[in-house]
Amino acid sequence: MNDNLQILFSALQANYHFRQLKVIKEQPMIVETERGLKKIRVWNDERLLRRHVSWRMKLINDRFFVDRMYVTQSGNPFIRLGRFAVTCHDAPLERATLSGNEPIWAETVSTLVAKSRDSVNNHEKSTVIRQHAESIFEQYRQTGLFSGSTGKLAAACYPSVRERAEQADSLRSRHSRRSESVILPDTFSLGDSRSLLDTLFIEFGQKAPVNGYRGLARFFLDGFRESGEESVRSFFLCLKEKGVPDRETADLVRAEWFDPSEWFWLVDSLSNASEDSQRDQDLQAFKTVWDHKTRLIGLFDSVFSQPV
Amino acid sequence: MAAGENLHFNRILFQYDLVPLRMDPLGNVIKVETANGTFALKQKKLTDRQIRHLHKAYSLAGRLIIDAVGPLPSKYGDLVVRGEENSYYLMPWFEETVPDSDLSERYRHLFVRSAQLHRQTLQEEKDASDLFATAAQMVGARQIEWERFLNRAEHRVYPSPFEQCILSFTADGLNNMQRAFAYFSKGQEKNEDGSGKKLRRALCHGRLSPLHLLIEGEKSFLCNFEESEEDFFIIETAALFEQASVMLSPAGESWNRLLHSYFSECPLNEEESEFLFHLLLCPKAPLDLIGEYEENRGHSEQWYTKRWMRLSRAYTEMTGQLQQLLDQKKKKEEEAKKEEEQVKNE
Repeated sequence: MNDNLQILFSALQANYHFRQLKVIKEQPMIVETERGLKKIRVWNDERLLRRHVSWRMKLINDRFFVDRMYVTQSGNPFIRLGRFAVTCHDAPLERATLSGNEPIWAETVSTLVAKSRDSVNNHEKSTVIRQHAESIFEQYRQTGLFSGSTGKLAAACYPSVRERAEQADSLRSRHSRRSESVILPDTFSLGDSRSLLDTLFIEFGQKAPVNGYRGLARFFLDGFRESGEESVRSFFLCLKEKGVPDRETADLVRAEWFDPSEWFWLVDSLSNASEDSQRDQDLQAFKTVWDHKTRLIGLFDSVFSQPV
Repeated sequence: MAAGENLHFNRILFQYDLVPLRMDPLGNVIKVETANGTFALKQKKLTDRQIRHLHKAYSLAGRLIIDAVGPLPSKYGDLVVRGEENSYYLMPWFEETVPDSDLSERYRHLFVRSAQLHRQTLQEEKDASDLFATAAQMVGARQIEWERFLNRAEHRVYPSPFEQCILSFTADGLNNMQRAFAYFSKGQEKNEDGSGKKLRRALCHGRLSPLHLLIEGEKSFLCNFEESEEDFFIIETAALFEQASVMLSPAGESWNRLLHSYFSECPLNEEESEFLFHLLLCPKAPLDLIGEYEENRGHSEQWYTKRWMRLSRAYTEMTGQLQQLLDQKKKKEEEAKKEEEQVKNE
């Protein structure tokens, strides 16, 4: 055991009264204790840590768990070790799926939408996506990158891409003056969520919170891909019962779906000369995401009867 | 317990890193047996204010200022686990050795514990003229209630046995109220410099009852601190005395011991003794009985008469003993003073 680990372990033992400690995984660090598996996080930015502590405090509820910090014997939510801070969290292993858990996911998402909020100060520019699509298209057309079969398809998609970009811009511009935004960890995803005692365990991790609409849109899309249309429909119906999402959230999540990021990604891969099989894979990935987004928007609109 | 409910409690216990081996609901407490020991999980609707009071009592108990059983913090540091409907807190489990029905033993512990609570958290004296005013108002209101009842009863050609009972008590009762009213009215007056009478404040439990006490052998601890708040503690003392007098009657000898045990743990100053005595001159229980008799009359005439006799006996017993005790105290003080003077003169 190296010195640093030794120091960390004795600090954990002294502050959280763990008798046994054994490293199970290094990154992120998971240790086995007599009280179960625990996740240990090391922070070098105390301001961010404090922000995370109060962020989790806002989300305390008895329906689902968030990865709250354990308090030390003296009641602090972290241990100070030199210029670092160390926190201890629960570390459940079982992955949470959407299918079969739709009602609790709906509760969780509605709580996140209502409470995981912060003021925003960055003025988002509207019409940015459309301009971006236009300039990329022009640039690639002039350099002749739309020549191969994949390139031709990407070019053929351009009018729809432009249309979607325009829709995304228009939805975002409606709410560009909002003072508050849903915030989520950049890592928020279905895959990182855990199941614990028949409910959910949401990881907030230790990254700075970001605009949560992207995370929500990605979460819905992951659910659609993993659990299928029916599961997402029943999840949407549960959400609708709770009056979630509000107009602003709905618009901004839909804008994320309309945002043709998969197309940008595809054209980007065109310029990196790669093998045919890789191109086929990229193309396939593009088609799948495009298709899922189309179907998800359709499903969302049919459940929430939103005018397009 | 139903499976869903079980899971719900498991989730709460997870916040303490506890895995229940067995859970038994006992009233609003769940006895939880785990590999780490036995605990009591309390389920209750709590307001923010009550949670704040629990925190205060917890911090006092943590600093060993008061001897109380408070909530244990969860691994996330919460004293109370808040839910949408109910809140929960965990306490160590006590195997109680005194049954709830053994009131005299429970009151014995309660008197000592509440006196210690008041004594340990004593604050400086503060102006209490508002308290005197409120007390005067209260006594005035009770007096009016009495007089109304007497007015009605006296004008009947044939008062009922219960009413007759009360009429025979009237002279003393009203006299006592007059005394109390005069005392409190005078007390609310301020001196020329604007200062009024002062009383000491302390942490009051808020819900002193023989059931809000855990007794294991000779050890006992106050619990249920949700309503605890700093106040003029003499009010709580008076309420405790009145409650015990009603519940224990006739208490006889033990009543004297109870009073002694309180005063030896928490000696009162002269003003507080006076305040307490006068407050106890106007008990609430007889008025409640009269109200119940007039409005509902859910029991037989005999029941009311018996109840009245019991109350009035308990009341005379308490005020008598208290008066005796206070007189003794005064005498002793006077003697001590005389001795002092003699020593000085010599």
